[in-house]
Amino acid sequence: MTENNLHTESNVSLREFVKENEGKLCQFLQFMLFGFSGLEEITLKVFRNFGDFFQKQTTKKNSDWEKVGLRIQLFTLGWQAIVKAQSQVEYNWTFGRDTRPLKQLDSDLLSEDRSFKVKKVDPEIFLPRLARVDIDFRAPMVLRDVLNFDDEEILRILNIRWGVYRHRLHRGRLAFRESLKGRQNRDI
Amino acid sequence: MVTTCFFCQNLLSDYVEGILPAIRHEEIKKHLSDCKECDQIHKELISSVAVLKEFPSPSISPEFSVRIIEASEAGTTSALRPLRLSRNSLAYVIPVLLIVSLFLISSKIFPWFSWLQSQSEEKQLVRYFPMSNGAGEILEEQANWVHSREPRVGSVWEEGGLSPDEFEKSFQKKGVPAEVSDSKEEE
Repeated sequence: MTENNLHTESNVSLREFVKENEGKLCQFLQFMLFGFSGLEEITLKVFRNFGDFFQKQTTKKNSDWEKVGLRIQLFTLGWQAIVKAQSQVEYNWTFGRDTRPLKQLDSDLLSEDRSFKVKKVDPEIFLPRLARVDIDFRAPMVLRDVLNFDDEEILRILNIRWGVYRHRLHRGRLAFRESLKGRQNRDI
Repeated sequence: MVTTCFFCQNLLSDYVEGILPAIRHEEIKKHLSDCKECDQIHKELISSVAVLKEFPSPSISPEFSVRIIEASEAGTTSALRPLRLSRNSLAYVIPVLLIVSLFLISSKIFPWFSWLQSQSEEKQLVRYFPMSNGAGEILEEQANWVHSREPRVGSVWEEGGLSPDEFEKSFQKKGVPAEVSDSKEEE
């Protein structure tokens, strides 16, 4: 098999790739930008930017045509759009741990009498609870537990180191647990 | 090593995923069997991760799917779209334009501009040794031209002009002034 054949075999059609990944990216953006009014516009902008990147990639010789690399690029653009959108909203960040006692705000979804395992998870109930988690902690959690990405892909998408990733993942899970129990979120 | 609740709770995610070293894994396991609070958090953590994994993927309407494909393919024809200057590009372009305009307008601010203009060796020779590179001939031609237009009349006060004796002689040759000759005729 010649090099040309190899190159053409590894090529990915833009339309096929977008169809494969549009669901996951929409879910990622929906989970990260819950309650945002311009979610559709942001989604379309991300795909437009990805189209630009794809066009540039076709003009390059010996470019990275692997699906994994393209998916990482797509979700990196998505993450950049999320950060940009979040920065436009008033965003309070408190350093250090919040040691105030937790308050019960909503019903406890993790209690034994409300077994969510039997019922199908309703996004209308669970998404607002997930949205209470800070985006820095929510992003690795969504990518890992919801979208089933590999650790290496997540590290490249979020551009963070392994220790930071593990810390944020764990803190995100703990914060989500607090949120499911109907408690006030700690600013971890 | 004594395993505290704080230590245990910080490692619960790693414990659930089974990426801890064997010794540490056993320590956490032992602590969880002893401590009710940590065990409760452990169970709830597993439950919350299960909730995340059971989230249904959102259904995308076919219309929105078409719009997504159109948007992604619109990016591929970026070369055909009219040039749109972003704020970032303007931030680079405006200072460059200002510097270029200053560079062109005033050579006083940029004295090395005149040096750049005379880059060739010949021009530099003319600049530093003008008389030995044809400037003398040009000056001589110009002086001849001026002299032919306005012939030089000698002056007493100039060096190389008429001497005082020659000046007096010139009067004697021309004769006495007119007023003096009239008074002589009346007498």
